[in-house]
Amino acid sequence: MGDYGVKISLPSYDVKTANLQQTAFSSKYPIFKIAFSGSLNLTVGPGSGSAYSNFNITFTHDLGYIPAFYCYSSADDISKRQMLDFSSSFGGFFGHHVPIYARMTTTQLMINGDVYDNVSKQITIHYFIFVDSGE
Amino acid sequence: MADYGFKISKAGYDVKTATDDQLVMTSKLNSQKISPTLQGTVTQSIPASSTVNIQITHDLGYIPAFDAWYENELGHWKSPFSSFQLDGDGAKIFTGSSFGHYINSTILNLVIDNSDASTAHDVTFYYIIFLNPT
Repeated sequence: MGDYGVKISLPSYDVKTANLQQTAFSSKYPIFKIAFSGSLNLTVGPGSGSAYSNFNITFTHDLGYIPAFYCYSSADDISKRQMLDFSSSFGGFFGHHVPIYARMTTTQLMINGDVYDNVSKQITIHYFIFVDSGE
Repeated sequence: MADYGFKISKAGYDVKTATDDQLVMTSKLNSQKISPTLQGTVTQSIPASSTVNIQITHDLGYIPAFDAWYENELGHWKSPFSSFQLDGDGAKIFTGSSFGHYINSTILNLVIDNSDASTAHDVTFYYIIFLNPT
């Protein structure tokens, strides 16, 4: 089978000789395609010091497989984002303590967490769900 | 409106019938875009008993998506956004460290606190700031 496709090199590199790091795009390597992106807004809490208030929110993608994804959060200060991973606490840095967890299934992005502060928090979850599988 | 655009299928798939996940790219779907000037590596010494902010300026004027990894003292590259310890060498950047971060419309800010009272530690981060807004 012939070696054919699409290849675009980065500025100043000869596309005929550019290696992978010098290539902006190659059809040999899929790129992350965004299936869904957006934000989820919710008001959480209040907790009560050592007693936490749990929250849950979901987004249904119905892709039928577990996709790759990224999630970011902002709380009260919407001029900033923090990245969610297996667990994320933006407590001490923002002056609150709100552990947030993101999980992905074959149908849903699931966000849950706990609020320990004695006041309610406005939380926004910004998500990117890719067509590409996370499995 | 006519259905037109540009798509490339993965090897082994007919581009005329491929589903979205069988495509390398399609002009119907946005993708994560990376600028060569917004990715790189930064190494910083964290003095004993101190907190250091590593600031990477992007000046995009909006809050972009991003990712970062650090190299721990065992030479393993890990995500700083996880407190989950899987492989025994811990998720901490170094013993006695704590980590904070945020990104806004101008900078990616990584905060490393060194509670080790006697030893400075060098940390190396690799970061990617995407052109996609959050």
